[in-house]
Amino acid sequence: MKRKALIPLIMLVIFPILAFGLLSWKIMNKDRKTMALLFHDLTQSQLAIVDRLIGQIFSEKEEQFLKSSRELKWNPTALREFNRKAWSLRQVFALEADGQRMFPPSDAERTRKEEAFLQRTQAVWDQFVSRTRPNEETSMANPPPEEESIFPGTKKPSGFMKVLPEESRGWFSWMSGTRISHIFWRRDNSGRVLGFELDSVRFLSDLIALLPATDFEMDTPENYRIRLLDAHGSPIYQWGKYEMEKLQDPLERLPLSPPLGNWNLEYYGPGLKESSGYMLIQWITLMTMACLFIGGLGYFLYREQNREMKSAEQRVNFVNQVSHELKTPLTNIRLYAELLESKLEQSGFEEGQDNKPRHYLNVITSESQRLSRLISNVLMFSKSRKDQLRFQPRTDSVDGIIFKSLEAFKPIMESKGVRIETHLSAENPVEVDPEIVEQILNNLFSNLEKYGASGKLMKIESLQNVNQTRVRVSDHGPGIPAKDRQSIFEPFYRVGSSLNEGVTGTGIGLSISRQLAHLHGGDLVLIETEKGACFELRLHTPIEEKAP
Amino acid sequence: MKPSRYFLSFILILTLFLQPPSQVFARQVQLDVNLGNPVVQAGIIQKTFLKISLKGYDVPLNEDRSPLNVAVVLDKSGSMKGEKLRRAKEAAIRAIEMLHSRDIVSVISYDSVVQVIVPATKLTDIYEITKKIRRIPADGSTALFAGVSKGAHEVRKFLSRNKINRVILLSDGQANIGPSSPQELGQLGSSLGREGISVTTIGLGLGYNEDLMTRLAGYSDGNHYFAQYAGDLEDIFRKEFDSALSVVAKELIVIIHCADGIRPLRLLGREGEILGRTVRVPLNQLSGGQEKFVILEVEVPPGHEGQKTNLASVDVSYRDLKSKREDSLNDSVFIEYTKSANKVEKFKDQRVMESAVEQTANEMSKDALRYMDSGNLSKAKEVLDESARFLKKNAQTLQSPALREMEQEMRQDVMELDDSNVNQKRKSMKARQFKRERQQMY
Repeated sequence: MKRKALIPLIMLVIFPILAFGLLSWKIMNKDRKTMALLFHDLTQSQLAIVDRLIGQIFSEKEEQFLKSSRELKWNPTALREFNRKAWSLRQVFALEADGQRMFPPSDAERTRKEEAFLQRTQAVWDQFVSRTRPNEETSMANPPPEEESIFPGTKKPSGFMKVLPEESRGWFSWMSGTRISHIFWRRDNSGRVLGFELDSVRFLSDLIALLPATDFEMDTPENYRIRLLDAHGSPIYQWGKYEMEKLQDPLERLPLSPPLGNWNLEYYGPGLKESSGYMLIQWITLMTMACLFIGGLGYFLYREQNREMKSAEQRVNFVNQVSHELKTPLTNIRLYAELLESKLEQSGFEEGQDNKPRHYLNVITSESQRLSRLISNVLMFSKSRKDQLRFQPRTDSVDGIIFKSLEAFKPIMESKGVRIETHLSAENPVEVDPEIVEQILNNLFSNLEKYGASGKLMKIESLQNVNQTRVRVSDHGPGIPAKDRQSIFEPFYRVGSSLNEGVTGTGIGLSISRQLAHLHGGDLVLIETEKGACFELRLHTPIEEKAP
Repeated sequence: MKPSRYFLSFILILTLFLQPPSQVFARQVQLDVNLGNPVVQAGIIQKTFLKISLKGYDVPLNEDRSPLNVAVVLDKSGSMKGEKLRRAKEAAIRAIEMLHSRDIVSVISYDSVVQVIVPATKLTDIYEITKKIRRIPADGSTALFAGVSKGAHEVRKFLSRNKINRVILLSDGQANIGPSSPQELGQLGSSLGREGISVTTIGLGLGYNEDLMTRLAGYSDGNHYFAQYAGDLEDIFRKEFDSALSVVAKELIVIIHCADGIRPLRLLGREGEILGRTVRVPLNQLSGGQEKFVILEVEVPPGHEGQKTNLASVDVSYRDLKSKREDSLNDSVFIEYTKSANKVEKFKDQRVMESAVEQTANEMSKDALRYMDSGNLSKAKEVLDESARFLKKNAQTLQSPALREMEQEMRQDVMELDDSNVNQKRKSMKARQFKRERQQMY
């Protein structure tokens, strides 16, 4: 009984939790994937902004050099003077239309700085010159040697290189020592070339100046570090609050646009790893809360139900105890009532005489019978609880048992105006436990008297097959409401309606009756009828032949 | 109405006349061009020193000075933890407290990343700035290059020819993120110097790279200090601010045009451009009372007795920070030939020779440093000893206490130098060499 109630209750708790857990996990997982995608897009675009910023510096320098190249006078003195002042330049130089170097001069005194320039560009000088020639510009007939860098500026004309019919310009990059050097050059329409060698260190400094600093004070949610790595993979600059581990891998990487094509931007951060752990924690918290809530609710319901059961059981226990105590005095009462009855007959009370003492006696008898029924029900129930019910068959006639039981109810039925109708055909002696059958019938009759007396009819039918006896007890009373038909066999279940108003009972009669029927190899069922209630008792009753 | 207008004009005229003779326009940087041997032996090719000395005029204390535009760049890497950083912060705060509200200050700190603690701002709320400086914590590695770049960027926001634009870098360690070789930092210094920003470097303790720090300062014409102990910092910061506050001239360019036949050989101490017979030396700034000089060694062709020719003419252009105008100076120097050795000796210019000896000895000290670097301590000592003897000899003939002092220094170096203190010695020698080379005020 308890288990039966417990299982749905557990289901009630577990299923919603499982469903909730699964659903929330799925949603969170999906969220995480979307987040990861968003994160990727976000960081990439963040890096792209930096890349654009760096590109912007290049184009700014380009603008600046273009402007200077248009204004500069074509003589060594002017170029030298320009060179002294232009702090973002390392060296300016000029080629005549025929490719001969005009500045730094070949045939005049040179400063040490100019000498140094000629020295460091010596290896790539011819390449550079041929790159700036009008006709050779697009041909890559002589690819540069391996140790020299390629020329992204001329290879990829994306913004850095525009070929005009007459004019031309571009970036020329090469490795000088450990650092990459850049030369911006412009050929004017007369074929003369001005070259500007960028001060690579100063360029880095300018780059750093423009890139963001790190702000630890501001309470921004962003927790990242972006690093700018040069062609050797060594960091040039980094910013962001995030403190990275020694050998941490970047979450995102973006190669810079030309002419810094082999430079990289790297994005470091806790990424979503931590947040997925955070998500798990979040999910567990949510689940725990759900478990607690639903479990608590389940426990509450379970306890409520249990308490009701317990109180009913306590009632029974109490009655059980009391019943044991009542059994002996009750037997005595019945014994003496019967003695008194026989005494009355002996002392010659005649019909028509003062009938009152007999009537009183009848009441005493019937009420004590009723009380003993109740007591035996209670005792039976507690026996069933302890699995102490015993089936003790004897040879007897079922009809006889019916008559015997009916006898006890006649007076009360009469007093309530209930007509007793019998159609009995189970008189054969069969293997039967009369005590059990009597107990069941008594319960059925007692119920009829209590709830169905308004129908003014008690109909009893009996039928006998080879091994089975069926007894039907029906009335024309209010019947049992459809919703209660299953439950009436449950212990302590009482149809909560006007039906039992003013009627008391323990609520164990039908339950114990059905159990007894089961014990007898049969069943007690409610039969559907048009009017009133109809119970059918089925009993396994082998015909007495072999028995002695 | 009418009388009052006359009265006003009268007052105006009166004030014009009564104004004390303005020194603002009269004041100039003082230029002196001298030869070590204005009279030389006739008939032979010989070398002599040409000294071009520039002296800033003194400025009364109460006079308005040019506003300062300074970025203080503090190393806050892990090695600065504790007393070092605390002292550095206090020193910076004390120095900033010397400034007034027209000055512009920014504070940058760096470890592996760079933080702009105080963006370039007029010094109106000094309390807020000092509060921010005091909050700087120490940890991480050393992105020195980035720190200087950011510092320069802050200065650049208010860059003006009429201001003293300066980055003051304090570091106790090696640069290890971004460009970190002395050569690269020198290149950066040179570029910043041309832009008008000088970088002063303060090396703290014995962990910093003195080559890097002196190059950065040297090429941008800033100052360099060696602070062996954090306790020295307050004094150094004060000196640095003092010297920055007393700058009277900027963007000084010295151009020496040697006469026909005169060959410029080398510049002692300073960087410059030698092109044929023209020598060009830029100096970023000059403080009031400070004397900076350029020493050029020249080769003089043989001449004959009694001949007196022009050796060189010198043009100096600069920007006067008081008048906020360009100004220029020029002078020329003659050389005379004689047969009399006595006369040569008699006309010898003691001060030029003193400077030349000082610079030569300084060069020798630098050589000693190179030997120290290659681990040859005994050779280094030998060179230092030689330089000390050279100084002693010249101190006697020139009767120069300055040279004697330098000799003592050298002797002390010889005495003290051993394996245990190479690092410390190297730093102090480097700082002294730097100061001598550039006539740093303190």
